[in-house]
Amino acid sequence: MLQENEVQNLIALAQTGDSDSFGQIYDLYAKQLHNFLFSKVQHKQIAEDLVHTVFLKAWTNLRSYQPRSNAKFSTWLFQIANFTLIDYWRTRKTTTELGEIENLAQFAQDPKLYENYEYLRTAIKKLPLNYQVVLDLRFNQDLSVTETARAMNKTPVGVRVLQHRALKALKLSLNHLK
Amino acid sequence: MKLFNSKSDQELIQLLKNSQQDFKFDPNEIKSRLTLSLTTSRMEPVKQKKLTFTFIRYSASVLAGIVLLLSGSFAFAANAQPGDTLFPINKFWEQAWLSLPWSASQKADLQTGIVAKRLKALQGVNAPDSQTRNKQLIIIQESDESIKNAVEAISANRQTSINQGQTDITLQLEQDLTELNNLAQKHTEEIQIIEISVKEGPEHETIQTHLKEIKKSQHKARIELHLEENDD
Repeated sequence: MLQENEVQNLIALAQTGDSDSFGQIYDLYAKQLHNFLFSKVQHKQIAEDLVHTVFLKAWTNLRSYQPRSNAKFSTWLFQIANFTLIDYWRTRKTTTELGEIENLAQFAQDPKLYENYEYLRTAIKKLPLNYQVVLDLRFNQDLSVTETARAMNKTPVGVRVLQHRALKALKLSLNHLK
Repeated sequence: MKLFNSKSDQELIQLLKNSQQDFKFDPNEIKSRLTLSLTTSRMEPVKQKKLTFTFIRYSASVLAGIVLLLSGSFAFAANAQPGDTLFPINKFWEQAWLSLPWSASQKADLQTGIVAKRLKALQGVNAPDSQTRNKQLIIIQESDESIKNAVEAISANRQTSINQGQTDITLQLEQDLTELNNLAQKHTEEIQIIEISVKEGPEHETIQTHLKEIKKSQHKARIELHLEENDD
C-alpha cells in the first residue's frame, strides 16, 4: 500500500485528466470499497455497479478534492461510497424476488469464517443502514472517529453517539437471535 | 469516553473485527467498464466554495449574539451613573452616540443632555460615608468634563456657523450655550454644598480644582454669549 503522500501525487496527476493515474488509484481502493458496499447490499452485481458508480463520481469530482493534512484520500472515497449507498438504499426493492437470493458465502474469501459469523451478519443486517455503516467504517475499515465523521457527514461526537447506539442495537438483535 | 466503551462493547467490537473478511470480485471487469466511462464522462471544473447553510446559520447566530450582547449591555448600563460599575459602558455608548454625524444643533442638544444627566446624578448623591464620597468625587469629575467638552464643542460650532453665515444655527447654538451656562451654575451650587461638608485635605482640593474648571467653562460660554468680556 502506498504512503499517503504518494497517493496525493497520483491524485494531482489524475486531476490533470490522466486516466492512467486514476486507474492506479482505483487499484489501490477498489477492494476496500467493494467489501464495504457488498456487505451492505449483499448482491454481487449491485455491489459491482455501485463500485463503478463510486469511482465514476470520484473521477467527475476529482478537481474539487482538496487534500487536508489530517484526512486521507480514502476518507473522501468512503464519503462518496456512503452517499451512493444511501441513494441506492432509498430506491432499492424492499422484497427480494425469487431467484435473486444468493449464497453469499460463495463470495467470501474464507467461506468457513463467513459461516462461523453468519449469526452476526444476520443481526447486523437487521440494523438501520447508518448503524451498519458506522460499525463497518469504525471496526472493519478501521477509520478513526474523525474520518468516519467526515465520511458520514457528521460531527465526531455524533459518530460516537451513533456508534454507541449501533452497538446497543446489535446486542439486542443478537439476544433476540439466541 | 468510558461511558461508550463498556466491557461488553469491547467484546462486541472484537467480534466485529474478527468477523471481517474480504469478498471476491473481479476488479479488472469493473476497471474496464470504468475506463470506458472515463473517456465519455467529463471532469467537473473546480467548484467555487459556496457559503454552506451551516456556515450561514453559525454566522447569523454569532451576529445575533453580538447584537443581543451589545443591546443588553446598553440596556443595563443606560441608567448607570458615574461611580457605578457599568458607568464606563454607559459613557462609551454616550461617546459612540455623539460621534454619529449629527448636525451642530443636534450635537449641542445631546451634549447639553449629558450635562443635565450629570447634574441629576450630582443632586442624587448624599454623602454620609466614604463610599458615597468617592462616588461624589467621580460625579464631580464627570460633571466638569462634560461641561468643558460641551462648551468647547458648541463654541467651536457656533464660530463655524457664524463664519458660514448660518444665522439660524448660530442662534440655536447660543440658546444651547445659555442653557449650558445655567446648568453649569447649578452644578457649581451643588458642588459647593458638597465642598462645605468635606474637611480640608486632598478631597477638598480636588473638589476646588473641579469647581475652578467649571467656572472657566462658564466664563468661556458667557464670553461667547457676550455676557462677559474676554480677559485675554
